Amino acid sequence: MSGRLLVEGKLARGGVSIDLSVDLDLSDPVGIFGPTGAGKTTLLKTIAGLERDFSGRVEVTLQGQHETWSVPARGELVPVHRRGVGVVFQEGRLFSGRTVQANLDYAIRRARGVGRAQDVSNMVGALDIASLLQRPVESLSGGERQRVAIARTLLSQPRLLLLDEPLAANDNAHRNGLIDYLIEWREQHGTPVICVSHSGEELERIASQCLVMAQGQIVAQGKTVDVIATGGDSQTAEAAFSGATVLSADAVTGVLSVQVNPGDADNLKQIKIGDQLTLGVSESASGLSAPLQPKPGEDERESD
Amino acid sequence: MSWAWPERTPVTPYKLILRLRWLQTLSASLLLLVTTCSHAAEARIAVASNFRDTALAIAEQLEATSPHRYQIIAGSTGKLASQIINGAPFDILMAADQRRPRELELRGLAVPGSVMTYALGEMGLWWPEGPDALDLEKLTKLPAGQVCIANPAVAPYGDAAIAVLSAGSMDADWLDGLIRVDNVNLVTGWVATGQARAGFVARSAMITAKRGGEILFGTDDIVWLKDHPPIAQAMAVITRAADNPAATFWARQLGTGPIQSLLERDGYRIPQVDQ
Amino acid sequence: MTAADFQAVWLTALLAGTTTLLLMPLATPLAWWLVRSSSPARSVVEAVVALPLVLPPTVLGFYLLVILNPTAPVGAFWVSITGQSLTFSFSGLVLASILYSLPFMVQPLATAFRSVSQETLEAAATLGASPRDQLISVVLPAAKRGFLTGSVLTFAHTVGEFGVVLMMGGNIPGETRVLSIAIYEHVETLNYDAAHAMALGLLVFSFVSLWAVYRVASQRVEVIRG
Repeated sequence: MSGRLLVEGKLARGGVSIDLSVDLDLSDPVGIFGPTGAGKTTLLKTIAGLERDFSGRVEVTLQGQHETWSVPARGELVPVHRRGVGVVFQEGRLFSGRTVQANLDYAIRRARGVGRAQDVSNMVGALDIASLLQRPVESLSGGERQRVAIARTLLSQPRLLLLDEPLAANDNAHRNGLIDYLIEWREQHGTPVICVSHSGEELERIASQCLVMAQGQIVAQGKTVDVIATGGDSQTAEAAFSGATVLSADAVTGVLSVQVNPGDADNLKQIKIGDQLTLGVSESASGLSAPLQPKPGEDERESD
Repeated sequence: MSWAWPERTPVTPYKLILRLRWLQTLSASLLLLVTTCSHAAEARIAVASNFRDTALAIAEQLEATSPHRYQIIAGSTGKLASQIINGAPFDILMAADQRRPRELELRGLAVPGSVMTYALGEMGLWWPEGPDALDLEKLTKLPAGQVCIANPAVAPYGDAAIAVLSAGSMDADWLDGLIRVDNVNLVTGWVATGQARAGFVARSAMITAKRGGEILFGTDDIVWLKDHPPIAQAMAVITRAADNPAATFWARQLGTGPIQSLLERDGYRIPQVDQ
Repeated sequence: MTAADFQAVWLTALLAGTTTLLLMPLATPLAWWLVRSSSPARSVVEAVVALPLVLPPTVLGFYLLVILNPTAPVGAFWVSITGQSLTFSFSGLVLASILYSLPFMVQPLATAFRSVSQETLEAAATLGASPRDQLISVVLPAAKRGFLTGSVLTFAHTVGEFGVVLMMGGNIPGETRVLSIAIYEHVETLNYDAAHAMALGLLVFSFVSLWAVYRVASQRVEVIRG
């Protein structure tokens, strides 16, 4: 279950430049974490070959085989359908005007693992879509659509599985079953998995390693437990800063950029991405400068 | 005058062609054994609209006396000539004038020497509710918009009508206001249905329409313009038909008695000297 | 109606059927390209395809006559390989009808193709479908109604063609004497009864075709199984 993925290059998106350069070890599932608009989906689409504007480098090693999918200047070398990258899109993207069964059959007919028997009924049962098979996809709820989309992608037997918020529309009861099944499926097939989520808890269960993206940048990479606060066992700490400057505050995305004085850098080490902070502003604050009082554990501003 | 005209079934050669197509080859080869003069062929005859019914009658007669088959395609002379220039597969043009056949000959599209005048058409002024003792001068009492002529641009009978009227005392504005229709047959229809009060008609069109029971007219209502030169209708054999026995047969038979009596029956005079 | 009139009806059906069958495979890739392409040439091609909608048929007929007549290079070339003229012939009419009815096939197809989103095609691609496979397995099934509408409109429009035939086809029985021309000839030769019979037939046929198109358009898409 070894593999490696290298992406190198930038992409302009709505005036924002997104730096997609990553080097990932695919032996273990990879999580991608970050707020809306951070560029997570763009990274997935770039890997799959769906970002037409991307003209950088994409190289992979899958099942011991090294392949170059895209190079700078010459663009896409390997088209989407030959990459073997299965993508579960956030919105499902089922084929309308067809039944659930027809959607699954579409994938089964094009499955990559030639001659490998698939236990379709087991999968359909585990994803709780057995009763939906004859329904037209238009009649499905959001969660149902997502589960059908997962089944469809898995049935195509991808060489690399990309999941974009695969559980977002499902309730908690389904969510746990889905996570269990995805882990089981990965064990069985040995397929590298990259999963985007804004839920640290979810990622901790699915992915042992994690990338964190914010504003088109990869801001952290490491073991999931190290880079993401998972909420359940969050620590409580207090740190006082001698001074800090607010660089930008975006009320729409909820992203606040703060620069702290160099002398306070040590205080930052105890803050993890995903931590919930309470900001206190002292009386001396005025204009764009404000001293900060981080207080993990209290709900003030989420990182997402 | 009622709008719905009595049923009439023109005798067409197409019926035979359709029904007997498979027999055609058989009969053609049989005839080849019995006749030595010619073998069966087909010819497309493009005819000026006013000559359509007469042409159909000629075709019927010739098909009865020969193995040949004929298709009649009717239209205004100008249109047919222009179609021939653009490659239309016609074998013979039966025009309503001499100008177009000659022009085709000049352009090398007609067999040299094949142009000949086959009939002299007569034109008349038909004015169903007109004054007694009709004459051209009285026509100016009508607004120009109630007088119908064939379009001079494509129909020789229209040309002739304009020539007749210009020779009179009609002013140019009045002439410009005349109703112009595509061919001289339509003039008969326009006057018959009351869409025009008077019109310059072809004697042939009046006779065939009357024979078909489509119109009624009193002899007082028409003045035949005998003082004016008749309309010389000429034909030409198109180059592609130089070796078509059916076309040659048609051209040769036009001068014979039975065909000439058909022409006379339909209101044409026979030209005295072949050109 | 005479045998010649029935021949005109049959010829019209033959012309409309041939045109529809030939136009479908021609218009499909064209409509697909128009929907997918971002080339600057696209709007030019779009405008050219739509030209027959606004041009008087006589203009199209006139230019075809000029280009295809046996003395012009294109017409002469055709004569040299087939021995037949493109003007005043059935083959010429088929060619003219294909051009004349092009927007009636391309536009319903383009509308149908446009309803298939880029996202859906991307999903098909990630499931391993090549662009050709996407066209066959996703786009064409979704465009079934577009094909039906396009075919009916093309057929009906070709049946109703007059100006183009008049200009470059003439009135040759069994070759170019289609219904509309036969009606025109009947009127020209004062044969109003036959004109009535054929005109009424054409009117009823056109109404039924359009009614069928609107009926299809108002129905829900049926669910494709399997």
